[in-house]
Amino acid sequence: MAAGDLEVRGLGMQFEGLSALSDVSLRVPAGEIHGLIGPNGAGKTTLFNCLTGFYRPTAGGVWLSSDRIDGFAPHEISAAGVSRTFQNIRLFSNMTTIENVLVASHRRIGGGTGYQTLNRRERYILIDKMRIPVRVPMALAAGLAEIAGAIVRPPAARRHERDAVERGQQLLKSAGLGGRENVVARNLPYGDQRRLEIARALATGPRLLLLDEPTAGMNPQESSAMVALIRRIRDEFDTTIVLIEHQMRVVMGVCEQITVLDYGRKISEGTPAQVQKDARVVEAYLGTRALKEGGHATP
Amino acid sequence: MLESVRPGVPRLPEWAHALIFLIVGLLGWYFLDDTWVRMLFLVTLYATLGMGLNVVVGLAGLLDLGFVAFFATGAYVVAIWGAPISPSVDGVVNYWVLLPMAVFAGAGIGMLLGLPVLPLRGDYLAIVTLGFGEIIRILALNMDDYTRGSSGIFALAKPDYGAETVDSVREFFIMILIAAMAVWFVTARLRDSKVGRAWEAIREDEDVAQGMGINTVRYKLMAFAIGASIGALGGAIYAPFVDFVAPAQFSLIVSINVLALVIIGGMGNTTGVIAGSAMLIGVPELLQFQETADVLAKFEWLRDGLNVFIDGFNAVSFADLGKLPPSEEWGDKLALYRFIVFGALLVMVMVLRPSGLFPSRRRELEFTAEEPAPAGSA
Repeated sequence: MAAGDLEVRGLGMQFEGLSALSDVSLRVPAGEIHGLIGPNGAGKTTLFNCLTGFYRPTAGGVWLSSDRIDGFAPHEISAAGVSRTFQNIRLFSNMTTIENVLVASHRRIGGGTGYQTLNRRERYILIDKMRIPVRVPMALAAGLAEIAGAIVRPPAARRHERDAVERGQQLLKSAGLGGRENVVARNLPYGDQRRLEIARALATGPRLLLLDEPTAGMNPQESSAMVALIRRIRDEFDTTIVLIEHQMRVVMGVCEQITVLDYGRKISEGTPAQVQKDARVVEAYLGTRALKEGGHATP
Repeated sequence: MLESVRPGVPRLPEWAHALIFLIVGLLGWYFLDDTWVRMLFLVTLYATLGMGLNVVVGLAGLLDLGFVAFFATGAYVVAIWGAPISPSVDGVVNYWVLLPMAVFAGAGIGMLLGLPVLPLRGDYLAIVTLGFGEIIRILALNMDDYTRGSSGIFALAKPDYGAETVDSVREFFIMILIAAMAVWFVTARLRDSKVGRAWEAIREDEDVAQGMGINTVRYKLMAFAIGASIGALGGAIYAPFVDFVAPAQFSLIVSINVLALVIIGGMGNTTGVIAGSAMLIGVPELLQFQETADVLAKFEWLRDGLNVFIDGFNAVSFADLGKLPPSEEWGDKLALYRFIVFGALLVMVMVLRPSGLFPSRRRELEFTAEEPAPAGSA
């Protein structure tokens, strides 16, 4: 697999008795814009939560550039190169736009620009070898060094911070938020908040970007601006993008491949044109009788 | 970075606030007598504790009601290793060795508390930390072999400099003033670093912060450790000052006082913490002073005036409110009822300034209604 390839194999997510996802598999080659659609409650956001470590999937696995990433904590998965936005905007609303972006670039401030590889087997070996007597003092020393660095603020740290701010400003500019660095996030207009979420997600330096309904609540003009932004991000930042979307105009316009979920299962996949014609997809959205009689959908 | 949020309000830079505090402290130290300097010591001590708690509550947003545990830790480290009387340790360790020991012990205890409460939030966290504060006090009460239980430890080793020892109120005040300035500097630097940013992100939305690559475990433990070590520093200076360490000094009320002064002062802001400390710790002390009574005694004219009003009220309402006592007695009465005055003050501040006396810019934002964003403020 190339860097940035996403592979999901047999993913399942069980909440007590409720099966939110079962046996979902999909492949997204690096650099693709992939759509994830399905009726409400189909498990789209649950899938995102599994990919980013917010949920720990109960079956199957997730690979990013041949690293297995499921089962790790969200911040570790973020370090491996997965980032996301949220359906209901979740900015750090009392922080300024630039601060929002800087929080996300936290890991990249002061060295450490490479992706962290998360290989489960290696990880266990590492833990075996370096048990608590070594790991805890190491973590303490690292913490102490970080605190000392923050207090003393050596020239290198200042430079790193300045670089991060510059990078953040650049990022805001390319997300269309140039010149609004010091606006408190919650005072931004709605569309700008969505754009800031994307800028923040990009600041972690992702290879895979997950967008949860990026055009929700937008009018047609704003939506098409968002579509253009998504395309530009793919080209400029060289990321693979998976997006959940309800507006079919957007899905058909921007996605190269589409996966359709219903009741936690994958029911169809293919190009937008293929998916549109798929009988199972029409059924899922409109009901069985719609297909048979062309009448009203009933449960 | 937030300077331009409210462009209409000019503000002094933070170092100017610190300088004003330092100058006021030194003027008080130079001109006032020992009773007053003792009050200044307590105000500064509590302000220092407040700065420590502020890291945990104000910056990282972790509600900690057991802050007294760390204060006690610092005091007991200094007492157990620094007093000849302590039953478990022979000999006396130099105070300047004990001070960093106390600070590190505080950090350790802070992380010890931090570990089990990592998954807890809000009210649950508050309850568990509350319990933790009590546990430390009860431990101190029962571990007679180390702490001498309720009889406490006294005759502590005093800090020395050159051939002199720090043993007067005035010298201790200088010590706590230096500590307060150092803590101010350290907390300000941390707040303005990427560590502080991580804390604020955790406070805003812990899940999202983690999703954006912040190791929340690491930074929450860091906040607990730093807050706790500052608490322990306060305890380590307080112990030789009162020269007596016993469990009764470390009751819940200390935690409540520190938390209250952080909230009254304006959470997240060091100037606010100092103002809060001056009000919560300083004012009740102030009301007991002879000087206050002397000043009040000069207000006989006010008594006369008020009595006229009372007489008028009595005449109209058929009530009998009597007359105000002569103004020479006002001081005594005020000292007696100082906690009523104090309570009224608290209520007044919270009603008039719900975000605290000196809110941080960010808190001020949270408490103000949405306002249109200033365009292009960069």
